[in-house]
Amino acid sequence: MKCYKLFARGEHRWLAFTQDEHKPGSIVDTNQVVITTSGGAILLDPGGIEVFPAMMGALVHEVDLETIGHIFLSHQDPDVGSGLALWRQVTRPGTLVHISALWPSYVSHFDADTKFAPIPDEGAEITLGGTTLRFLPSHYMHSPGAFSVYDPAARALFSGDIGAAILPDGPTRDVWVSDFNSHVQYMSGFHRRVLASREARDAWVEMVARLPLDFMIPQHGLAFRGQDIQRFLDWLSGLDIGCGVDAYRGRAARG
Amino acid sequence: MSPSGTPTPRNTGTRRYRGILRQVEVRIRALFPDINLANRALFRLTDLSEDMRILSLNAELAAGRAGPRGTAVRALTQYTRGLVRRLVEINADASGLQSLYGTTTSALRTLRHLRQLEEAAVHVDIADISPSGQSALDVLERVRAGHLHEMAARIAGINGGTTRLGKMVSVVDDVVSQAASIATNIAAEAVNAGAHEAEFAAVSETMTRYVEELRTMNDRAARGVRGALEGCKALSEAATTLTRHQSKPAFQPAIQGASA
Repeated sequence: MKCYKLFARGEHRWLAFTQDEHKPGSIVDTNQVVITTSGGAILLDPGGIEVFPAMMGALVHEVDLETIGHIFLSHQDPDVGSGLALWRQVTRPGTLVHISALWPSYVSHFDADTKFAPIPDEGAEITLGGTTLRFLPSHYMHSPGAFSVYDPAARALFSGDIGAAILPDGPTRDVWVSDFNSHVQYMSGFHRRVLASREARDAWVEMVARLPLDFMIPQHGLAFRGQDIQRFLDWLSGLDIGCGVDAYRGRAARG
Repeated sequence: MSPSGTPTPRNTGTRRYRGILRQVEVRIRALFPDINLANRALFRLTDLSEDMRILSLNAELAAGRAGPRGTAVRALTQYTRGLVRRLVEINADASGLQSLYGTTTSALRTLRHLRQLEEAAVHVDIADISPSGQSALDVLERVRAGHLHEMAARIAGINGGTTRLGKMVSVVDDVVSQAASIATNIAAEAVNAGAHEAEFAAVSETMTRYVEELRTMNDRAARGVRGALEGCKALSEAATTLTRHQSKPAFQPAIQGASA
């Protein structure tokens, strides 16, 4: 698993752990992000149980496990947090797991002993060593209870599944999108199928467009920086989403 | 690199440990068909004991109607109710069978965690033998020790549950043999019951049918229990090897092996 430094200013860092060459071929590649500060670290979407070993191996190279006091889950999917039971045990006791208030009792199926800090629908803030992180509502994008993480000091956004790309297997690549137009093909099918609400999409785009941002990283695929962030927002705004609804007109639905 | 994409451990201790985990998992998985067989067989126990209870009540009413000619049958029906009580008691134990499923699946989950922890240790070892890598290995070692302790408790739970299942089967076996004898005696009483002969004969035939059903059910359950007990023996042997690893760190030799 590779580690990319997305941002670094003293102890304040954004690290992306991704492109795991050891993962079983049947599982989708995920980006695990760690934000370190002088007051501790937070693990964003630590990933499924299958990627735990590689993630742990890569993580300890960069971060002392003892400093991780928070874990954030953007939503309830297994690729986001099915490794939770193991992360709870290797991080320090009392580590808080932040997730939408919709999900603690469901995500407890991954680990009944996890201590959750449920995030209310309108969002929340936490402060780590003087760095404030904002959990921004991303509901229905795609999960009905989803959040993005905004770091005003780093001008950075972790967007969960929004902006995700399913990249073809291939040689080592960078973590950044280098040619937005050619990258669209890897995002298009995913976004058209998993996003269902135009109203939520428009609200999310409007919210993010107001944020001073230098980069944005989703849970799958490559990160966006500079002008590519606006290109992504424009592309998302015009996308025809909710294509799963077409299935209701299919043969099985008609009976 | 192994075919699955998992990095290959650089020392034989870790490879041996991985092999033991695999062996324990195979043994646990092998228990499921036998536990399922016993569970499916004993599924009818509640209905059968209720059927026998109702039959004994009806037989007692018939014995009452027969007056002095029904005295022996009344006594036999009271024995039958005693047998029904024993069936009901062991049936309450059948909930232990459900917890056997719970313990077995929890053991598999613990094993899965042990495997992931061991793989993580290999990744840490490959990535870093620095102080932070060492501290991560210490954390993994501590968590692993907890899981091994939990694993030992789960395996003891599986053994205990299977033994209880064996006791259930042996109680049902005893009930079958006594109920068969009661059915025969009621048939004998029917011969001398005059006008009540047909009624007592019907009771005896119904009882014989229930006894046969109980016997078939229990024979099937006994096959499952025998298999599960044998499986538990094999599992205990594998678990003993695993427990030996409890007393010595599995991950530290990885460092020594790598730095040698």
